[in-house]
Order: sequence, then structure tokens, then C-alpha cells
Amino acid sequence: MSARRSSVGRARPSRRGDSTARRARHDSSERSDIPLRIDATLRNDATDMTERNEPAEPMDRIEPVEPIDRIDPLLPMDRIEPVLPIESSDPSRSPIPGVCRAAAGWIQPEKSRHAAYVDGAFADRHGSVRHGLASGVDATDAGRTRRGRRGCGARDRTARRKVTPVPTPIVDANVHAVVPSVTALLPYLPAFWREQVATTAFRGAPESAWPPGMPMSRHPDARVPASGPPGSDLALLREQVLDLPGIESAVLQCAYAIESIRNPDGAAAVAAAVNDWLVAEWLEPEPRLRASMVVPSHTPGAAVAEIERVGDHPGFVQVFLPIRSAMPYGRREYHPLHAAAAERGLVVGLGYGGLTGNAPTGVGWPTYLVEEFVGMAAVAQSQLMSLVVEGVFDAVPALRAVVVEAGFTWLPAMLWRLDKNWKGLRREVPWLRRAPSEYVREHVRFTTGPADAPAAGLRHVLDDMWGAELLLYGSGYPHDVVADPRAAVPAHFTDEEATAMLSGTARELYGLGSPAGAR
Amino acid sequence: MTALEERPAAPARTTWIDCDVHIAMPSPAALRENLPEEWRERHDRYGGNPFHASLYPRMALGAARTDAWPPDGSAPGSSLPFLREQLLDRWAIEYAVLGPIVRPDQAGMRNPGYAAALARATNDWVVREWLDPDPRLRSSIVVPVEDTEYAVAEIERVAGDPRFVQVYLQIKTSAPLGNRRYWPIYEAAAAHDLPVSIHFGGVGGHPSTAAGWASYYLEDHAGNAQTFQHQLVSLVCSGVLERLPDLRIVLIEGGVAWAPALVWRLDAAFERMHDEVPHLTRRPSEYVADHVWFTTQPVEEPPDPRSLARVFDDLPCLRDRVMYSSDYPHWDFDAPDQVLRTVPLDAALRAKIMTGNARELYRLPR
Amino acid sequence: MTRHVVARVGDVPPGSRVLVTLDGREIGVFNVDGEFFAVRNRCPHQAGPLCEGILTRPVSSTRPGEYAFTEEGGILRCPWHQWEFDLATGRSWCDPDRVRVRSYPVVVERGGADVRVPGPYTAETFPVAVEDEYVVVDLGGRLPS
Ligand code: FES
Repeated sequence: MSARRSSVGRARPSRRGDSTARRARHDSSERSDIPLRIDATLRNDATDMTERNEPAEPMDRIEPVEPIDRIDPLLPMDRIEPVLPIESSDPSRSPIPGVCRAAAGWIQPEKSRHAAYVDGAFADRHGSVRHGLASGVDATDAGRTRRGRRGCGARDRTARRKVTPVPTPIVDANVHAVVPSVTALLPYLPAFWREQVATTAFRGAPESAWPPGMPMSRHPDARVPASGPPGSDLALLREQVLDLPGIESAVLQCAYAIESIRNPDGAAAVAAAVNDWLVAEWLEPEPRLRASMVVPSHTPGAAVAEIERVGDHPGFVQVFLPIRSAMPYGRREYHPLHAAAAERGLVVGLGYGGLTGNAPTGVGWPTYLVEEFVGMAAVAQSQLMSLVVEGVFDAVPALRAVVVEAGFTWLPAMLWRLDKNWKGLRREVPWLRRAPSEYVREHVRFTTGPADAPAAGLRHVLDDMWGAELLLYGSGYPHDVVADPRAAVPAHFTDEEATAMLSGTARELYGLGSPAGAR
Repeated sequence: MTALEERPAAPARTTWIDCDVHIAMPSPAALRENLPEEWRERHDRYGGNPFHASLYPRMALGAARTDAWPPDGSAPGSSLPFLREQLLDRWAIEYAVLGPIVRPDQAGMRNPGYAAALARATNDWVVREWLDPDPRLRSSIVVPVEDTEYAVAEIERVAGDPRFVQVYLQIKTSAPLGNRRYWPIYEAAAAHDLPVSIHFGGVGGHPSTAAGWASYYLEDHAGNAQTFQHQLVSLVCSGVLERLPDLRIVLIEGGVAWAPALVWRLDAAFERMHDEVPHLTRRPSEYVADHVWFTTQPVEEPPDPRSLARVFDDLPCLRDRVMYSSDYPHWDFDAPDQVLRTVPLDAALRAKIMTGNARELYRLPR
Repeated sequence: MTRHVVARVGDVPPGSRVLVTLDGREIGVFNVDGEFFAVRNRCPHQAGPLCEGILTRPVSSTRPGEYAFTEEGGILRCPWHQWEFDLATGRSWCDPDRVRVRSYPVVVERGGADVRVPGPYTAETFPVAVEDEYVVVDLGGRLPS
């Protein structure tokens, strides 16, 4: 543990009574130059639910935050030390920089991919099932009665998979930690940025790729915390995910839109604050959690610095890169970022989201959110193509990537096209040693939710993309609530494949052991 | 019976309807000649203020097959005798649906008058040089897509000629194609019983992906498929297919195999977000099934050809919606007798793809 | 007889090619830096006229952004889909084990007892003189692999 002691390099204020403590130490005579108001828009921030639940404070009583040099000496430094009991018992996480243990053994022997189709009976056995790596509830319920069944893809989707108990622990590779508001980050922000929050309308990232009201942002079964938006409460996460039978651990994603903060220094400061917040408020209190760190993805150099700052923390297993970026992540500007991640055994998580201010399509702004939601799958395709074509996996062979919550059923078609093109255009990208699909097979994995395919189609897709090999179970909580993760296993999976999807691949990829504390 | 149960078989027919054949003016001088007098000088001096998207090196001159340059050295696709030799006669093409390369969307996007002049000049040139001399040819109406009024006027002007079988748009537009600004084009097309086709390429003034510009032609080319997905989502969610029940959309050179996954995702999202698009009275998959056609080239080539056959099981409407196309004279040309040869399609489906679906869509006489 | 005289050596200078029909098969014969190669004019992909493609050099790379344009070796790019074929082996670059074009051994021989067959690529007789060198394609032969 001590070797990692200095990995979170910047001092962090104690959470204990921070605002009142600060106020008590306030000496107004020294700070007459600092405006004394928090901007009214901040106080009325619709996303700032914590603040809204408190009685409104008269504006003139709000104190300015302390400059960092006055606060930091008072902080107990030992709070910086990440305390994660799992680490010592985790043999798979490589202590050697640049060596990712997950690298070995990824390519499995060719399965008899098409055996199931030879007798033509497959569709009858499974064709009536739709659960598509289930979204917890039967997604076909809504609207079924209102609308007809005509149309492509319409199947009889009434039957549900019979759940065969598989004695497998489960890793939920995709749950969300939602920053409730910039207020939550204040204790982790340097003085300058606290002042910016206090004295300007700066609110960090005020918007989200998951608008709080959007049905996809919160499943009807996801409970809303007493204060704060869904996904911001550890107790509820425990109740609705971690304490489910069999859950061994979960990987937090934080889709906080760092990339929407144009000021690169502000973005870097907020990213650091989010990461420290993740450590202090999620990883430390809950040993079953791991997390994806956030980075100022629009400023690759600063992103590398942030990976260097916190990337060795054993709780961080992944770097979250929102797929809507200003430029594709395969570009050479990003290669140092990928290298920095791989050196630490960190996976690069290409996640749903990204608020760059640029249009979410290559042809401008769509009209409806549902278009953006669906289109995000196409954005993930663009990013994946970029990573492969630009030779990221050639330049950083230890790099592993996970496409988080952007689907996967699109993968085979995309690879068939990309491979076809590559055969003719290879001279343009001579650094590629193999067909693009082979890079994906070796280096890229996908979280399962949200569900979309009917069972027969899902089986086709999975056979075309090397079976269970590529999938990590991920509920997407609170976007989805999965009551029984084992029910998300495709009906035709063998026990071995189910194990791989539910935990095996994630354990290997993220270097997760079997924590003593797991239930 | 599923497509899979059939063994690979020789095509039952030996003719094809080719739904994507490109023609070009032989030279820049020819383009100038075809413009009306009053535009020639402005053409010389200003062009049409294009969006300056620039291009990638495309591995092949003019993105054309190396052997597609006519003997006189003029542009690929500019010689009817050579087109006959290399495509129409060689493979017994029953009909070829032309897509002119001279396109106002690229050259004249920001100057609507110039774009309209280009469109008129192109359509007239098509009639004169191609449709009149060869009865196997049909063509697509070139329109200044970003100026709806001019676009509608051009449709009205030439739609009376039945050899124009569709309106021609490009996939890269300045707004998603479901945007209401484009609806008058769809209305005019539907009123004339013309499908609206949307072809690979174009220049819309945006980076090629939602994550900025791709670096390589390989990405740009394959990435067009993602733009097709965005555009189809836009068309479906906009409600224009609800509003115009007779509108037919043809997606040309965008691939096919992505369609099932996109439709699944659309339907699944719609189930939870339908109240955002209350103007849709049916599931997205139903609009796709009723309104959307696909051409094959550059058809996805999975390592196991059976995977491609299963796409038709995953989205059964595709049986009636997929039409063969070659993309002659471009480098990514799919040869009629080769491209689906190893894919185990049942004979009926193969016939639909090679001729039947196109004959029905374009109402082509036997 | 599987051995065919296809040209006088001097008529196929380095970088050039001749297209001949031998036993009903169209075959391209290429001179790459003085060395001769012969491959079938039918691409194993979609049967395009492979031998009408661009004759060029291999491009390799050790890292993203590097284009090492090798100054030796012959690569034939199919005129249709631009797949690359190594003239020395007939193997495609994208799938060398499974996608190959049929290639034939070529030798250069002086006119004499063994080399007197008229060039079958033309109806005219092909006078073979003892003092000249000729490009000879062996249709029955296999390249050492
Ligand atoms: S036919 Fe030669 S590469 Fe396709």
C-alpha cells in the first residue's frame, strides 16, 4: 500500500463539516477583494438538488470560500491514502508498468461458430425469446398494446428465459456515480476554482449526456435518493446493485461532462476533483467498487497528467473517455494518453456521452433526444474505427478498451465493412498488421446494457462477434435496474460463457480478484 | 424457410438491374459548356462557395477503378460506349440507374442560384447524352438540396420524364435529413410518385463524424455507414414517414448489414422514449419496413458468407428491400456475378435482389 | 507443351508488362528490376483484370505515421478493389494464405533447341533466333513456395 501512497498527489480537504469549518475560520479583513456572493444562478441550479432541499440562506450570509493556502495546512494528510483492502489480495493486477496481465489468453480457440445453425432448428428453440442481455424488466412491455406487431424485427417476444442458477460471482462492469452538483466537488477543488464557483456562474459541468429527466437516465425502478439525482447515492447503489445475490464488485462510470468545460485548466481541476470525490466518497467507503477515472479528454496533455496523478490508485481500473469528442481518440495526439493508461494496466473506457458542443452526428444536430440516444451507437463505431485504423493498438499493444453502454449489436456489420475496405486501402495505413476485426477481437470488449436485440438476432450477433468472448455484464444502473443479472445471460450461452460474461472477462480485464468482502 | 437453408446456387437469372452507376462530364470544360450562359463567368470566378471539406487521398485516381478510364482519357463514367463495354453489355444489365457525379451539393452548396443552375444543367445533360441514346438507362434527379425551393422547382421541372426514377440526395447534408427544412422535397417527390434516394458522400459542412474529422480515407469511407445510420434515425424520428405514407427512401452505397442492429436499438429506445416523438404512431421498425430500400454495394463481406444471409432473417423486410448495385466505375465496385456468389441466399431472394425489388420500386417494365 | 515463349527480353523493359493468352488463359508477364514474373489476369477476389492494375512497390511500416516505400519487390494492385499481390509469390497482402493469384515460373532462355515454339499470344509466327534471349513461361510449373 505504501508504494501507492503518493499516487493521489494533491491534498484534499476533509469532508468533515467543511463549509461550516471554513466559515468559522473566515477572516473577512483579509479578503476584501473577494466578492462575497455565490451567484444566484448557482443557488437555483436545477441540478443542484442537495442545495435545493436546504432552507435558502440569505444571500449576504454566504461566505467566500477559503484560499487554498489557508486551508490546506489544516488538512489531515493521511486522508489522502486510498484504503482498498482488495489490492493486496489481488494477484492479477500487474505490479509491472506496461504489463497488463489481461493481455494473455484473450484469443480463444475458434469455436464451432455455426454448429447451431446446421439443423436449422435454432430459431424454433430460441427465436421466440427476447431478453437481449436483459434490461431488468421486459423491455417489450411498454407500448406493446398500443402498437401493432408488424414491421421488421417484430417477433413474438413474450417468453422469458428460464433462469438456470449458475454459481458464478458477478461483476457489474457499468454502474454510474453521478456528481450531484458542483457543491459536492467544492471540497476537492483548489481555492482558485472554488472562488470561481463562488463568484461566477461557473458550475463545473452543468449539463449531462444523461439529462436527469430522460427516461433512459433513470429506470422507473431506480430509486431516487432523498437528495441528489439518481445514481448519486452510495446507499441506494448498495441496495439496488451491490447487495444483489452474487454481485462481487462493480465498476463505476462517471459521465460527468468534463469535456464541456472549455477552459482547459478548469476542466483539469474539475476532473481532479471528480476523481478525488470518487476515491473519497465511493471507493474508500465501499471496497466492492472500482471506478473509471475522468480526464479532461479535450486536452490530451492534461489528461495524461491526471492519469499520472491518480492512475496508480488501485481503485481506478479504467479511464473514461466520452465518445462524443472534439477529435477521434485514435489520433496521434491521444497516443500518450493510451500509453499512460496501458502502463498502469488501466483500460480505456469509450463511454456513452460527451458534450463537446459539436453536433452528435456527422450531419448536424438532430431534433430529438431519442435520436441522440440511438445515434450514440454510431458514434461508438466511429471511435472504434479510429482507434484501430490509427494504429493505437500497434503503438500501445498492451492497451485494452471497453465500449461502455453504447451497445454492441452493431459490431459485426461494422467490422465486415471495415475489413472489406482495409483489404483495398491497406497501403494508406500500413502500420496495421492484421485485419481491423482482429484488433477489435484482441483489444476491445463491450458492456452488455442497454438491451436491444431479439433473442434470435442476438444469437446471430454473438456468433458473428466470437460468442461470449467480447461481453462484460453491465447493468447501467440507474439507467437500468437489473433485478437478476443472471437473467441477462443469453439463453444459448453455456455455463462457461455465462461465467465469462458475468465476471470472468471483467476480472481479467480489470485485474479484479475475489475480494474477501464479497458476498 | 430461412435464407440459411438454401445452399449456394448459381443465380437463376443472368440479368441484373444495377441501382448505382455513376456518370460524369468528361472534363471541367464540358461542365462549363453545359452551364447556361449567365452562370459561366461566375462559375469561372467564384464557383459555388463550396464547404471546403477537402478530400483524402483515395488510393485510386478519381476513386475509380484503374481500368475504368475510357481510351480517350476522359473521366471515368463519361463515355457511353465504354460504359456499355465495361458494364451494360458485359453483364447483360437490364437497367442501370444513373447517379450523376456532377452535383450541386458539393460544388455549389452555399450559392443556391449556382447550385440550381448546376442541377438543371446536369439533368438536361443526362437526358441528352445518356437517357435518349440508351433505353437501358434510368437516372436520378439532381437537386440543390440545401435550397428547398429550388430543389422542388427542379423536381417539378423534370419529373414528367419517366426515365427519372428518383430524386437524388447525398448522405452528407448540412442538417439531418429529417429536419423539416427538407420536407418540401419529400412532399414533391411523393407527389410525383418518386422515391428519394440518398447516396454515399456529399459535403454538408460538418466534420465527418460526431467525434470530429477522421484521419484516413479508410475511416471516412467505412464511416459513411455511420452517417447513414444517423440519417435513417433522423428520417424515422422526424415523423416525415408518418406524414407521407407513400414516401419511399432508397439508401445507396451505405451498406445493408447494419440495418437490423439499428432497428433493434431504435425500437428499444422508442419503447422508453416514445413520448418525446408522439407524432410516431408506430414502432420505428415499422416505418423502416414500409419506407426504406437499400442497395447492396459496398456490401459487407463477413468472413463466413452465411452471416450475411442471416441479416435477412434478422430484418425480414430486407427481402423486399435490398437491390443490387455496382457503383461502377468506382474502385469499390461490386461485380454483379461475383459479389453475393458465396452467400447462401435462396433463389427467390437472390432474384429479388438482382432484379425484382428494383423493378418493383422503380416500376420498370419487363 | 507447357512452356511458352512470350516475348523477347528486350521488348519487356523493367517496369513494363505484356499480356498474353496461353492455352486460353490470360496471363500477365511483368519485368520487375530485370526479374520476370507471370500471373493470371484474373483476380482471386471478384475476378477483376488483375494484370491491368498498377505495378508498384511494397509499403510497410513500423509505427503509425510511417510509410516505408520499399525500393525493391513488385506489388501488383488490382484495378478494381486495389488489393495488393506480391508478384514473387502470387500471395495477397490482406490474406496471403487463402487469397492468391495463380502464378507461373518464368525463365529467360537463349534461343536454341528448347526455345523455338512460336509465341502463342499472336497469330503471327514468332521467330526465335539463337542469338536472342526470350521470356519463357511454364504453365505447368509451380513456384517454389
Ligand atoms: S477483383 Fe481484384 S481486388 Fe477485387
